[in-house]
Amino acid sequence: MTPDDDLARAIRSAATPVPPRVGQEPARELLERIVATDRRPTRVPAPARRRRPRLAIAGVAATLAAVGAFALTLVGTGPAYASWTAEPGPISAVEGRDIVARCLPAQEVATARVVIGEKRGDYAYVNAVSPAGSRTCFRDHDGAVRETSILAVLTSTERLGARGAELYGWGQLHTDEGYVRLMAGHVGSQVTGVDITLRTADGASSRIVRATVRDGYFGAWYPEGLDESSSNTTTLTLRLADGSVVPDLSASRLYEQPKLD
Amino acid sequence: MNRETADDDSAFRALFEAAYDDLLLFVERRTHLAVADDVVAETFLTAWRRWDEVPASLDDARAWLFTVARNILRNRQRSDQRQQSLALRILREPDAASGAEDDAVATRVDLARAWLHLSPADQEILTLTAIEDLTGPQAAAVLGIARPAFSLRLLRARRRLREHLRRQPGPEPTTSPAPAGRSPHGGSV
Repeated sequence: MTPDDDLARAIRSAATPVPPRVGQEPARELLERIVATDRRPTRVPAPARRRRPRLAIAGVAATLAAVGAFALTLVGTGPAYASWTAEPGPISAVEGRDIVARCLPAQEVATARVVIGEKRGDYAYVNAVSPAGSRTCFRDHDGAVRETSILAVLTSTERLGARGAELYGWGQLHTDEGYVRLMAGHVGSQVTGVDITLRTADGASSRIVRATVRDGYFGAWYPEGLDESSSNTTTLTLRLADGSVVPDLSASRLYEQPKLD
Repeated sequence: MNRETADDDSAFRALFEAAYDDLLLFVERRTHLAVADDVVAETFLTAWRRWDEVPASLDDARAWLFTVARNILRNRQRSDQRQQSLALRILREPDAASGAEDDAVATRVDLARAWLHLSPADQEILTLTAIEDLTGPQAAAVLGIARPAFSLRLLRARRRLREHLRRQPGPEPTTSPAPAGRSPHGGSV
């Protein structure tokens, strides 16, 4: 046994023991309540069932295993996301509502407002806000729509001020073309543009993705390469109404804590 | 109910039975007890609705649930005007009347006191591996950081805990009574 194992064992031993609770009434009621709910209230044609680790709602950096899976996917399928563009294009209000209707839980559809809707090639991405919070949805090239976030509760506009920013969605999604990263955020009143800079691990190369910004929200998504997913060096630059910029906001730090003005 | 739905129902129940206690503890360590049940419920509901995305292996599914719960907690804390981080409620000094052997009690006292000197980030790193029994890659995924970064943070957290222990009157713990629960596999990355 190594000294590290000894230390871990000592920590475990010092932790306060708690009796099992899964057999108690609250847990049993919760289980029955959950399995009684409709798994997909707004059903869409089911994609091929895949039971593999996916990090779509986790908002996590890729693990090495995930990176390996990404590399294998690319090798197997040729150029992935070939129609993707760094500059977003708009989607119509009708398309936005259609995606929301196929993505959100039925009870939230009526009150949801599409704050960001964009197209990049054959794909569409929507951020919808309801009184309950924000959810993001991704429409794949084959038309399949998936919710790509957990329900996020947002920092108030007042707290963000003029130059603040919040990155509340930074999840990963796996499709049959590989991994993508999806961003959703909330910005201060003077922020008119958001640019995302992706760098390789060695810093030798970078690329910029322009986000869609509207009504105090921003959104963007991008195919995530091997180096980018493991470098943890993604940054955001805010462009302000007066022409100035707020550069080099670390995405990982912003995801942990909003920048308040 | 079709065949696939019946299978899913059964598999979800198995995951619930296996992971409920660990998930509830994971959440209770990181937030106010009053909201822990809500977070656990939201986490399992997310797993149920997105069952296709839950890893098939129990260990990985458990880590997946932790990741979802941590994100839900982060959402709640982000919206909390106080923006405060709660220290992990992991270790505390044993009661005087606990009846444990003197050496074991002394070890726990030292460890509990040293633990309080750690930053919340160090506490979380050590908790994920030593208490919550995650592998290095699983813990890195829960925190949303790359595995090399996690390894470095774990190394530093262990070093700082040892430094704090050395400042305590007693020796660094080397052996202790065997804990109940799962055997560790998260100690090395």
